[in-house]
Amino acid sequence: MSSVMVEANDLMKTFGTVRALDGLSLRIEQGTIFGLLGPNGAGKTTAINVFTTLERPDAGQVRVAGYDVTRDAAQVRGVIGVTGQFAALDDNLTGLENLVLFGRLMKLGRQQAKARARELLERFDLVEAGARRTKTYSGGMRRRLDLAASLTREPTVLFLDEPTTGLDPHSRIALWDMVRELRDNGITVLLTTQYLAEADELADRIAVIDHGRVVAEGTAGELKQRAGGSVCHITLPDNATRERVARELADLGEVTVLPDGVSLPAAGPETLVAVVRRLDEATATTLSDVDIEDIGLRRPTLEDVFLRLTGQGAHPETAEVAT
Amino acid sequence: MSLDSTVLAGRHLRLMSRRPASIMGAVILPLLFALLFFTVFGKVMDRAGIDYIFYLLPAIIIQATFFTAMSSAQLAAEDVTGGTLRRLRVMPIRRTAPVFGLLWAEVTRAALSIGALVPASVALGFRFRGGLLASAGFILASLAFAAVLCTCFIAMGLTLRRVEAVQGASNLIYFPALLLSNAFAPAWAFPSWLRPVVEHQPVSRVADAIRALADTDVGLTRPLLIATTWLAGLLVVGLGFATRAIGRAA
Amino acid sequence: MTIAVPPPARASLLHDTMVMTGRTLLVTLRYPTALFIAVVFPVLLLLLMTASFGTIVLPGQGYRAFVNFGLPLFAVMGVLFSTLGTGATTTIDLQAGFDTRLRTMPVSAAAPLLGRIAADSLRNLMTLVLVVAVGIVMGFRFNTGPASIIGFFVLPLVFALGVVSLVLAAAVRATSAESLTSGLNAGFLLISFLSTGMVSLADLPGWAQPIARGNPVSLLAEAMRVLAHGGPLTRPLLGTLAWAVGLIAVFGPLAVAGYRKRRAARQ
Repeated sequence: MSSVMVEANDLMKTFGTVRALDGLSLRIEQGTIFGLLGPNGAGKTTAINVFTTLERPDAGQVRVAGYDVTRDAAQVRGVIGVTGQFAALDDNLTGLENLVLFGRLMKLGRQQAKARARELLERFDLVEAGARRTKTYSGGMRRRLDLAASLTREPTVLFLDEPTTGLDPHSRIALWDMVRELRDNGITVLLTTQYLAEADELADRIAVIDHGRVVAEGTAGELKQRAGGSVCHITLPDNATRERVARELADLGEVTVLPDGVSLPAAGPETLVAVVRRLDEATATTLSDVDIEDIGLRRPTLEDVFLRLTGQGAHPETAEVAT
Repeated sequence: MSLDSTVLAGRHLRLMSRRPASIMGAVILPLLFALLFFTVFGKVMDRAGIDYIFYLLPAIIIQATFFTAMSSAQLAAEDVTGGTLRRLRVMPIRRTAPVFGLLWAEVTRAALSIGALVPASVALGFRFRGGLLASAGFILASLAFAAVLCTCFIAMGLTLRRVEAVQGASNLIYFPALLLSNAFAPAWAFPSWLRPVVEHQPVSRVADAIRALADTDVGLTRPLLIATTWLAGLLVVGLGFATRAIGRAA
Repeated sequence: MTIAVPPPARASLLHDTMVMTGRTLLVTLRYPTALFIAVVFPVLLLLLMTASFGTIVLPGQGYRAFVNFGLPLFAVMGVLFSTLGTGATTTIDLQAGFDTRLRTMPVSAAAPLLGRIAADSLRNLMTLVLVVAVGIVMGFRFNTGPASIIGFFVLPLVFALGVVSLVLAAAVRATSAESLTSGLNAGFLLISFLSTGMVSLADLPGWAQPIARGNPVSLLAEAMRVLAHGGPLTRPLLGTLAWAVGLIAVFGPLAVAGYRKRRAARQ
């Protein structure tokens, strides 16, 4: 049976004058990883808070695993697992004790909770660290334990709010593998991220949200398709020159200024030829100071989609470096 | 005091001024204790023939010094575990500069609390009975005690390293050392079997010397000699432990 | 893989409170500072204050007399200052988002706070029993019946419920555990000293006597003395209970309201 595990219809949520959710709707199929992608402040965390019963929507409905989050909040809490941006663990307890505590609160028996905790420590490569207080854990270890803590009683739907923010690349890839494994075991996963690479790599379906609503949805491939065909991409290391290059090429197509250069839609190799000719002439005269690193034809990336849909100059990968 | 130590002392003083708890410990808490002990025990001490505010000021100064020393132990431990010490080691500064910097800052803080406690006690009726020289000696002796006690506690912080262990050890030293001394109550009030300990332990000996410097018509040589011997001995022990710990922290 | 959805786990006030109590006790017993204040601090006070001030406060009566006179205050001080630890860990949990996480779980909404209060009471009972045990070695005696002796242990626990309400009301609004404890610390010192716990009312200066008379710590210490040794009980007992009920009535709702708001969303 193909069942919908998360269904949100027309969610509205306002904080003072800020509209955090503005008609958000989405459907998540059982056993898939769904990526909620958006810039900071797009409403990702508010959406998660509503789905996990932390916040009531002003209007609209959400059903999680068949339960209404406002009417049947107690049931929803019994079938979900949540891992927030900042690992909320008890730092004075050991890894094992944390897992036993959460297991007991999920109504596992004492022995059952212990057995499950040991099993999770093994699965998340924390057996040795399990006897130490979580105070002493590294960022990656904390995230793994945090994820394990939301699995003490196998959840039907797992919510991960920016699970890899602040992790080093190695820990991030390890966490991705774990999330995939959970999906393969039939768990439905909703994860928010501001990393395009993470959504591209991990999510079966992606919804791009901006200003509290979904602006595009589909698989990574579908979304790239929507951004159009190939583009001609000119890499310009010096950002001061990008606007000038964009003006020079304006009559060849709609030029987009990107964080690493400029791009324009390409009908085929002839566009590339036209661009090269034009730049060849210009660099001899008006653009003589411009340093062009690379010119090429490229399939659109998720980044192109993201920038086009959210109209943001903000560079998600730059945000990554900053965190 | 080298330039490096002075710079590092500045860093500590800046950090302290940002921690409300450190002002509490150096000034407000000792003032509160002075007021409370004087209020609660002033009458019963009077009945026992003791001018309590005169008796109490040295005790409160010693207590404030303990608070300062306890926090210096914690800062020292944080510097070791937080890696500040290691980072400073790779810079072109003297190995001992971080420790002297902390010590310098803590003695400054102790001076600050003495500067607050003496006028407050005068307001409650305290008077220096001796001459100007003896009164200056009173302040100087208090600062010497602060320097030695902080050295010992910093050495303890550097040696034990773990902040929790340092806190525990600090309390286990502080309570008996202060309350099993003649600082707050005279030795004769203690049970006879405890009296020898109370009379001879270093905190009492230092309190004797400081009290003698505030008093008039008492022999100064003996108490000063005994207190100086104790302080010199403790200083040697503290410096020894500190040097060893710095070597290990490399 | 089967799609069988397990029956959802359900919240249970009793079970969740017990689990949270166990967790809080475990952390308290492991945290050296908390253990020190609950166990070592009141015993040290009893030993050291008796040795140094005993014969000065009660001249000609010996140390035993002071143990019987002062023990209630030192036990109460252990209880009072231990409550600060309960407040500090509550603030730390809220900052870490620990309680927010519990809200996404099938955990009774009241359990996290109730668990902290229950653990606080159990730790207080431990402090009282320990101080009395050491006191008995030093010469403390009960001259009353079993009902009074039970009252001797229960009354401070009831008063502590009022104190913990106040501490929690502050803790759920505090921005840091450090500022919370340093502020309350001074207040607790004041009411501990400006009381009739260590000296009799007549031995306090005139200006301090009205404060000491109405001070809940005086009332509690006096009630405990009467419950241990006999005497007129009505005033100190009713006074202590009035303070406890008043504190719970004022700060209980403030604590709950602040807690709800604080854990609704992080920061």
